[in-house]
Amino acid sequence: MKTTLALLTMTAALFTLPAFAADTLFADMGGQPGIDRLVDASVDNYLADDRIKATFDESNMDRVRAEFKVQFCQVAGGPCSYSGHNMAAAHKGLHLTNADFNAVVEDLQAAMTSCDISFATQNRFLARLAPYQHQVVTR
Amino acid sequence: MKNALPALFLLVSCAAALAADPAHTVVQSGRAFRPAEVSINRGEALTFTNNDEFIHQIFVSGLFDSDERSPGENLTENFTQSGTFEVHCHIHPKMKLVVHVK
Repeated sequence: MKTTLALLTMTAALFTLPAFAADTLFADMGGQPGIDRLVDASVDNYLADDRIKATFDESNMDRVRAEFKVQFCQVAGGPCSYSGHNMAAAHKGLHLTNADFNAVVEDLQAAMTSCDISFATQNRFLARLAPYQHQVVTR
Repeated sequence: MKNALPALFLLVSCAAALAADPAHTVVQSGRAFRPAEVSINRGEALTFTNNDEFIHQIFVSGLFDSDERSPGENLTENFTQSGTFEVHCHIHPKMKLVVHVK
């Protein structure tokens, strides 16, 4: 019985471990320093992008950068807990389109490339952001 | 005299506008405070109504710094010191309300 229990425990552990071990995205993005660099680079891109820069005209960009850094950390599986408003509430008044969202993604990809984040890691991160599209695009 | 009447009317209208709201309500709308300037007496409160599509908060440097409020929510702030104060929003730094406390 003891042997069976031990085997069961080991088997369960074997199935459980890969779930934790596989979530290396935060580390693969360079940890918090890497996330911070990425956010700064991507926000710089947004503010230089004629397609979307007006979206940030009324915003406190220091606050935006700080919020992004916590949120990106959390999305990447890092030790952060985003306590801001949900994405739908935060973006409702901006009336964003799919074209706006695509521009943000393009600028983010360019920022990830400039931060030497591998293509595979970029795709893993973008996949985690994709579900937000339907929350922020409202027209 | 003809010129004096419109001027008098304007003066009375402005005075009435400043004193028209006994509840001292300021609306947050279009990422702006409406009205953008109010006069109240010391010890009175201003109620801020978020009629916007955006989340807002209010602060006066050195006096108060509120929580964030979602559209449809209110918050009330007492002004216990005389003077002229600028109220801002951390989220939208261009928002400015001037409060004259007598």
